[in-house]
Amino acid sequence: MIAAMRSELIKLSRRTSMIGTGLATIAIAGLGTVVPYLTDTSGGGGPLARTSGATGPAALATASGSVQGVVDVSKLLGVVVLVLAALAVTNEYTYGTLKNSLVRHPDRPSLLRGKIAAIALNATALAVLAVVAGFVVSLIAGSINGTDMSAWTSAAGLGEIASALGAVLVSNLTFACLGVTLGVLLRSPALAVGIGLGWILIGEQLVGSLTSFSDWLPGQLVSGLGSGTTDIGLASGLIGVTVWIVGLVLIATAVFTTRDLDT
Amino acid sequence: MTHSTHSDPSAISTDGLTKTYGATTVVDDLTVRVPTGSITGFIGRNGAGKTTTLRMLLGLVTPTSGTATVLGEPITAPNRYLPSVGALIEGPAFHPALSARDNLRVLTRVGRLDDRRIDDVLDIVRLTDRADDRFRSYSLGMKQRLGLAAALLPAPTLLVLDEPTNGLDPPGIADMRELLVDLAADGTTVLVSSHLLAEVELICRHLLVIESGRLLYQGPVEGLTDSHEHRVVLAAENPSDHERLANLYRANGLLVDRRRDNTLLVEAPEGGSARLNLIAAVAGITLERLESETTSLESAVLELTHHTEGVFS
Repeated sequence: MIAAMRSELIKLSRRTSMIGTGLATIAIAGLGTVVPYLTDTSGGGGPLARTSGATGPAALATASGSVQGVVDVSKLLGVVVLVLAALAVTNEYTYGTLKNSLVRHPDRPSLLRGKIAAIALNATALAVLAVVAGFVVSLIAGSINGTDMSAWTSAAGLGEIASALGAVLVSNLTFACLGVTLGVLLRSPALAVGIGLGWILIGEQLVGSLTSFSDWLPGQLVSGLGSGTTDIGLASGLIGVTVWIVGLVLIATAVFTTRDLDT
Repeated sequence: MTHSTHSDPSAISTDGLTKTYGATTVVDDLTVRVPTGSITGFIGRNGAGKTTTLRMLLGLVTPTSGTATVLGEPITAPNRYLPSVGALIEGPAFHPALSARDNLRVLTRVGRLDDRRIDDVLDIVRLTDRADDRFRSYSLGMKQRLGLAAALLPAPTLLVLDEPTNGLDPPGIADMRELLVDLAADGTTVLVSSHLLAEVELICRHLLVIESGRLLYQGPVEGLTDSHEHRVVLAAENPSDHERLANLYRANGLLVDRRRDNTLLVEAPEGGSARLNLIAAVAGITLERLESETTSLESAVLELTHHTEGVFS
């Protein structure tokens, strides 16, 4: 698995890929921080990040003020990772490079685990980048506004930063697994990305309006964990996310291992 | 599916290998042997089942039925033999945004190979100068050479190449030919799939011919080319004698064709040239030309496939 992961990291560390995902993450984290600050919308306390219901300029002065905006857009940050993961898998089919890898590394489950591990590393780096970007944007906004930011460096403030990182990381990892699974199942970049985005941005809302378990759908679950828009507790939410990640990886592994590579 | 057959001297051995997709049988009860250390040509027209067969041998596609071994190991355990196999299947496939060197590094890492091997293979295929250029900037011939470099990374004992000369210019084809011959001389078994029969004839000593997934011929190249009637091309010193000469040969039970280049083509038994000369001499006809016509692989294969469904596309 380590060999496969090291191989995958070469592909993921392409300059265009890193710049693209990095800029998208910074943009989303920055906007997620600035827009609520400017519009002063109301919000609730989420289990992973928020300790205060304060919003807008007042929110900046709270312990979670440095990262609150990032947590609120964790689902959108996850979408970037979903696209990255889906393309990482489907490009192998599009370019025909998967056959080369399988000839050199015929242990298919190991090859897929290595690929997922590399994507997870990338997703982790993007989560850190998102929190850092959110923090910097908050810092700039607070400085301009003359906000008292002393709460950020308190124990509670540091805890909020750690929680925010956890929330974004959980979101990114869940979406990474979703992207990998869609990639393996569909093998087409356009289909995998299109269906993934369609499901996260539209499908879950539609299904949620018709069913009573919408909070347990992957996008809603990771988003709710961070932003507090769900009644599911932290422990239950993390269990739910774990079930999704394990389930998605098992599906991808089963298909990847047994399907002929005949194209 | 099968057990290891270490006593089998064949580098590749299949028994009743079959692959079906729905109602379509792509490879049909294929039983072949590829001798160790040989350059074996794997020929058949497009869609004959060559690539599917190669994919089964490389563990990429699961056979519907039948068994096979590669380097003495069953194809159900590709991890046992693939470390010693290099392959170029259905053209060179690489990440367009990565350089040649990085593309090869992807493979050395995933295959736990020594990165120093990269420079060796780039040198072999003469791509060292362009090693750090992106794959997408390569010409078709350069891409093909990089594909060969990737196949050579593990210093394989078995090299499986699917249409390796596609996109190569004449010097590139000659280089490829020379390389394959050198590899075989060093003990590497080469299985090369191609529809360029003239190329196959130049380098291969052993042949597998399939059509519609079925085996038509396996054995030495000479076994196919020599199995046809021996042909002799001859011309009289005086072309006006051709009509009389043709009648004489026909009277002796031989098949004769007059050709557009004002020669006669006579189908005669092996070593029949002396008899043809004698018949002409007895009739007082002097022959200006008398030579055996070699049956090319192309014509032999065309004739073979004509007996089935058609000719190569």
